[in-house]
Order: sequence, then C-alpha cells, then structure tokens
Amino acid sequence: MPATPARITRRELLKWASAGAGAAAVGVGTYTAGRGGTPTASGVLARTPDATMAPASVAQTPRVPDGSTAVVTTAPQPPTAAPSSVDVGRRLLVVVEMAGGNDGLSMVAPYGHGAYYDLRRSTAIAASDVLALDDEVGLHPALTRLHGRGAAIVQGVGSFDSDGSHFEMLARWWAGAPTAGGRRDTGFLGRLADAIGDPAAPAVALSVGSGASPAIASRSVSTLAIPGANAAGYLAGAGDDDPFRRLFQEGFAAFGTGTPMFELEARLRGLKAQSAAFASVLDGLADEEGDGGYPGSDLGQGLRLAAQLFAGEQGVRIVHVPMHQDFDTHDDHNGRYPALMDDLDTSLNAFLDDLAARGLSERVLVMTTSEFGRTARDNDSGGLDHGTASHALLVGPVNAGRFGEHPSLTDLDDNGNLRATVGLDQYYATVAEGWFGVPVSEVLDTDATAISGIF
Amino acid sequence: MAPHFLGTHRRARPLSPLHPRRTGWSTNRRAVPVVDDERALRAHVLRRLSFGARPWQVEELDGMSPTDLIEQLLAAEPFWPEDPALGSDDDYSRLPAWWLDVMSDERAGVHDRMIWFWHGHLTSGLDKAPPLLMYRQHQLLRTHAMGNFRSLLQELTVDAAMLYWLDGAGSYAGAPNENYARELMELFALGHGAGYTEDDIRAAARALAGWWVDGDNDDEVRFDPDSGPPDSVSFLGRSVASAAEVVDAVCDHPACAPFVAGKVHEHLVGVWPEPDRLDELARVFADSGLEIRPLVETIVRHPSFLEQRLNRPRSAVEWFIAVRRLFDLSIDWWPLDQLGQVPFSPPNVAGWPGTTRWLSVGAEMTKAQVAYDNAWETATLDEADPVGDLLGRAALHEVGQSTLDVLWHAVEAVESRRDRSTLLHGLLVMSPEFSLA
Repeated sequence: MPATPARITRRELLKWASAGAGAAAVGVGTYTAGRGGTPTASGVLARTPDATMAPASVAQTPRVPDGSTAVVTTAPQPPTAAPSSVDVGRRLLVVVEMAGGNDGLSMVAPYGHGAYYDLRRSTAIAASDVLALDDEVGLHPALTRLHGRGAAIVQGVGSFDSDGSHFEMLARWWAGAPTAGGRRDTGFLGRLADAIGDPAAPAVALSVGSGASPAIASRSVSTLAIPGANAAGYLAGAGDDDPFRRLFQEGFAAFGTGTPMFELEARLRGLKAQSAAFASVLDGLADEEGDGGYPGSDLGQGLRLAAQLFAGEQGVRIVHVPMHQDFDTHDDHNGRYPALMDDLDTSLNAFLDDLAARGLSERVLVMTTSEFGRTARDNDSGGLDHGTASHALLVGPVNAGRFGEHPSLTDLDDNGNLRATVGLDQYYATVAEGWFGVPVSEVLDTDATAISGIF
Repeated sequence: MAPHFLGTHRRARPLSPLHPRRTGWSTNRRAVPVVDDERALRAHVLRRLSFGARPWQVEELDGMSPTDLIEQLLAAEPFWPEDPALGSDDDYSRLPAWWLDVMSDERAGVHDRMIWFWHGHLTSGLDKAPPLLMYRQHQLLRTHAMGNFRSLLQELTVDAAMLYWLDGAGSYAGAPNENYARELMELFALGHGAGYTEDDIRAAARALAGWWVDGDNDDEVRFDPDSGPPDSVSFLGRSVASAAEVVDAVCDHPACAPFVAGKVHEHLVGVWPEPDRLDELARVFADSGLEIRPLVETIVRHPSFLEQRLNRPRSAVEWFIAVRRLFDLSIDWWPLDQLGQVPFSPPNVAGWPGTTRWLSVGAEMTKAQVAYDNAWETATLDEADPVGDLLGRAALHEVGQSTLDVLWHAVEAVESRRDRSTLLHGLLVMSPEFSLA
C-alpha cells in the first residue's frame, strides 16, 4: 500500500511562521483529498430562495442617487448596508484572509435545519443563541455588530475539485485558480490591481503582515507586502533626536536621486525613491493618536492601516489583511472559535466606524476569504477537520442577505463534506465585475460569471 | 561638499566609475570590452561562478587574468560539506540555514552554483516533502550537478521528495496523477509548447505510475507492479512502459537540449541566449550526451560571459550572502522569507521567478532592516580611506559617482570612526550597485 505523503500540518506551519519563516512557500501539487463534484439541487437546503433574493427579514435600503442629499429622518444606528453610488474608479477593497480554514457553518449557522444538529453533535450553536437572519440561518453569537449592520453572505464558496492541503488551497485562492492545473505566476489581487490601479502609484495593492504574498503578485502596477505599519521606520521618520538613523535614511534617499548610468541602475534608483516615498507615507500615518477604537489584533491594526492609507489617497486601492489567527480548529472548536468571531466583529465594527468618520463608507468593500471550510461532521475531539466549501462575507456597501445556494447538509460528497455551490472564481468574479466593473476575463482564466444583486 | 573619491583610494587601485560608453552590451559582441581594471572582471567571475568574492579576494588574485580565474574555478574539486545533523525539532529552519552556510563557504564554487540552479529548476520544497527527504534530494543534486542531465533526471523522477512534491507517490496506472508528467515536460526538460500533447501527458502519467514512498522503512522509494503500468503506451512517438523509458524519451526529444542549455545560460549569463548561440550550445549539450560540464564550460568560456556584467539584480539569496560576507556575520535567514527566497522552499514548481521580482518596495524595507540592524559589529574601516576599504571588502569594482558621493558624504557627517564604519556598511548594502549581480 503506497504511503500517504507527509505534509507539514497547519499547526507546524503557523509555528514556523511565528518563528519568522512565514507561509510564502506554496507548492502547486494536487493532493485530491476529496472531489466535490458538481452541485446538485437535492438536499435539505436546496430550497433556499432565488440566489439573488435577500431574505425578507433583512431590510434593503434603496440606492441613493449620486449627488443627491438624502433626507434621513430616522438615522439607523448603526447604519444598515446599502449599495454604493460611488464611481467604480474610486472604489476600494479590503480582503480579510481567514487562514487555516474557516467553518462556514459556525459563522453562519443553519439553525433551522435538524441536519445541522445531526452533523454537529458537540459544536453546533443552539438555535436560541444564533443571531437569526431568517428562519433558516443566523450569524455566530459573537457577530452582534455585524448583525446590526448587515452583510452579504455568499454561500457554499469553494472549489468543485477541492483538496485537503492548506498550501494547495491557499495557493489556489491566492492565484484565483479554482483547480489544480491553473497557472499561478500572478495573484488574483495582483491582476485586479493591474486592472484598476495607477501605474505611477507607490503601491496599488498592499499586503499587511504577510511575507511576499503571492496573492498580490502583479504584472504591471506596483504591489507590495510590508511586515506592518512600523516597517517604514528604517527608511523614514528619524528626527534630529536620532541623528545616526537620520543619516542612514538620508543616504538611502540620496541613492534614489543619483544619476543612473545604465538601465537597470536607473530602475534601482527609481525603486529607492519609491521606497523612501512610501516609507514616508507610512510614517505619516503613524501619528494618529489613540487606538481609534480598534482592537490590538493583527486584523484590527491591519484594518486601521487600510483606513489610513485609503484616506491618504496615495493610490492604494486594495489592502490584503491575513488575520494571522488559527481557524484550523481540529479540536476544541467551541473553545476557540468565539474569539475569532469576536476579533472579526470588533475589528470590522471599528473599521466601518472609522470609514464613516473619514467619509469613505461608500467607497470600501470588505471581502473575506478562507482556503476551505471544515468537515460537515464534528470529530471526537470537539473539533472539525479540513473540509471543502465555506461561506464568505461581503461587508460595506452591499445588499444584505444570502447569495448563492446553500450547500446541502444531507447530500454530502464522497468524503462526507459539503459540496461547493459557488466556485471561488465565481466569488472573485462577483467582486471584480460587481464592485469594480472589471471584466471577468481580465482577471480570471475561467468562464466564471458574477453573482448579481449584491452591489 | 563631498571630497572626490578618485585618487584617495589607498588599498585598492583606483576604481573605475561606470561610464556611459559601457552601456548597451550585446550578446553578439565577441570582443571582451575594454575595462581598465581586471579586478572588476574577476569580481564578476566570482559573483557568477560562486556566491561572490570574499573581502579582498579580488585583490589577492592580482596578476591572474579573468579567463585564468574561470579555468581555476572550473577545475576546482567539488565541495562536500558537513552533514546538517537533522533529526531535531528545528529541522525546518536548520536545513535552509545549513545551505546558506554552505553557500557562504569559500569552497563553494561552480559546483555549488549549479546545485543552486538545479534546485530552482528541478524544484521540490519543504511544504510537501519533509526536511530529511529534501536533504536527500539535495545530495542527489550535489552528485549530478555537473554530471549527466539524463542521469540526474532519471534519479530525480523517482526521488522521494519529488514523488511527494509532484504527487507521483501513490499514483496508480488506473487513474494516474498527471502532475509530474506535465511538469517534467513543461518546466523541467522541454518547455511549454514544445510539441507534446495532452495525450502525451496522460500516457506519461500512466507509465510513471506505481512508485511510492515507504514511510515505515526509512522513506525508501519502492515500485508496486500492481499499481504500475500494465502495458506499454505511445508517448512522444515511441512505446514506453516505465518511468525510465519516459525520461529517456523526454531526454531524446529535440526540444530538450536547447531548453536546458538556454536555462543554464540564462542563470550564468543573465539573459536568454541569442538564437545562433542557443543552437551552438544545444549542439554541444546534445553531442556530449547531455553532459552538463561541457555545456557550462562552453557558456562561461565565451566572451559574452565577461561582457554581460551587472545585467540582472542579485536574487535575495545572493544579496543576503553578500551582506553576510561583508558584515562577517552569520545573520539569521528569516529576512529571506520576507524577501521571498528561502532555500528548500521555492514558491511553486516553476522555481523562483526571475530577475525583476527581486526589485520591490517591500524588499527595500526588509533590506534596510537587515542593513541597519546588523551593521553595528562590522569591521572598523581604514581611517584614511574608509570608502576604498569598504569597497575592497565588498568586492565592488564598478561603482558610479552618485553612490561614491553618498558614501563620502557619510564619511564627512560622522565624527566617530566606529559609527562611520557602521553607517558606511549599512549604506553600501542599500546602494544600487550592491543589488546587482
């Protein structure tokens, strides 16, 4: 019997990453751990209403015509989600990456279905605890503010030929390639940045806290990954009280202004100038006082940086924020998952408040990603193993409600996992075309079509 | 005002700042360009045929022509480093650290350069193969780096790390995994669009099936006839029934010699060869029975090897080793993750993307951090000529006036000799010239 390949577990990877090595290296092999197959219309949740129809219990705010002054008599607190009237050319995107594999059925629990409680003997959320969206599903109890604000939930997102490897599936998500064979020399966000960005900007897409992320690898515009907002300190911001560092920074900046003698040197000198400029941009952001209401988590700090950069109008259009928390809940799911949702809820709430204060609410969309969902059934450790499809959230100027078909809880695939109903490429296509007005063919190699009705 | 640099250089001979007349080198030029300082050429040879010169190595070789230096490096005995002593909890970080130490060793020459090339070309990585198997694969590359390409590819095809990396492990002929079959042709040996078909990929996958890694017995690679090909299949116009026959068919394909020769040329010279030159190299490679050494010798003995200087950026690993050499410090390798090039962890099966990927704002920020944090324990530079001392240590012999001005400004601005040395080291590794190979 051939041995199964040894892999680094997610745990080991995170340990490795925390020691500094990170997850930049990603193989492109194909471990077919489970074949999702084509989604079928059978199953307990197949009767979910029309994909584009929001549940009746979720209020839909009509579009405010561009330039008009909406007279609001009873201002909702917090404001409920509504589509944006801002020109697509001014729109911005934040991608929250829930690395490790986010359990969609815990984030949006199908509490109205007995099958959910059959599958989840130890990890199900009681019907009385969920924050109901309709009579079928409700949000995780920790997502109280998000529940008040509303979000578009894209159901059953994943690969139709899913794989159990974190690396493989992260690589597919980063590349925007839903199957094993897709080319991965650029990232989906990188191609999106190419399509919408200013080639002269110091960075069109920025990844915060990751290594050299393949997600933002682009062809033409500049995209960059920085360790954190304080990474610029080596290249900008030293004052007279630190004369040595000031000399280092002045010397570096001077390399950006020298007379180039040949082509590659010219490019390098341009890069030095660009780096000094972007470091100054980052350095200028650090002066805001207080915590701005953000939690100290990686997500909170990453979102704060995103808001500051967007407000600074430096050409940054996309910010990629890996949560750096462990969604890989193989055990003690109920002990670990609430903290993840609390961080998400608190951070997003602070971010949306911050955007409102900066007048950016209608310009910024938040999308969540995760390499896969978790097993339909919980295991004997009170946890959930690697699964297939999951749900994703679109937060900001959207029509709140559920989109796409909910995966069946009874018609599972050969490995007992959920069958994806929305390809990850279709999810990406929805954002590219629906939010940015970018033709799908420009950013994806597949023939995915956008889901309508969200924006 | 910064003093003029030329004429104040004490230890090394006066440097020759880059001059516009040296731009526009072309691969078609046969004559070695007129460079008044052979040290620049020797520094170039050491950058490309090893992992760079030691401090003052270029001066120590005064009197040796660049072509003689090339011959000396080609004739050097292969270097067999100490075992990395795997088997502890930190193998995942120990293994890349070990290789960086090997590359930094002055005995690492052409042979080690080619091991590094093959690792980026015939990739496998720690994300799917464990450290011990990656080390075994490294030893395989070490054995064949300057040997025979066919032998290398034969052994690599059934190497445990490769079987994991490209899913050959456990593939059975009834429903074979096509991953290795595709990449074998597309990325390793023939190139995309070389004339093979999807049917060829399926046929190869079937013939490659049956191999597995016995995790209960020291990860030995075994062949299971029941999972292997039950009969022969038609592949690239011939009949094959085993992995060995697939590799032979690939190596005999007319696209193989030019594809591999072009890749080796690109690594050593910095550019893909012109068509005539590629034909010439492919002929040498094919006529020798795919022997790697004659191919390498033909590439580096050609005038274009000395002409094509500073025509590509240093990769992250090349830059990092150069900093470690200059700073005389064994700097921890974690910044290489931020820079996107950790040995044994290629980003994907295509290896590390070439050249301009090493030029980025994020990389500059990380490089600045490495430079600033590690420059404090560097050598205290010569009082009278700190810049000349610094450049000699860094083996930089083609430096533009703009960079010299920045360095001399730093000399003037700092009173303390120690602080001045720190600042100069930190600045030099951030200079444009230091980022070029």
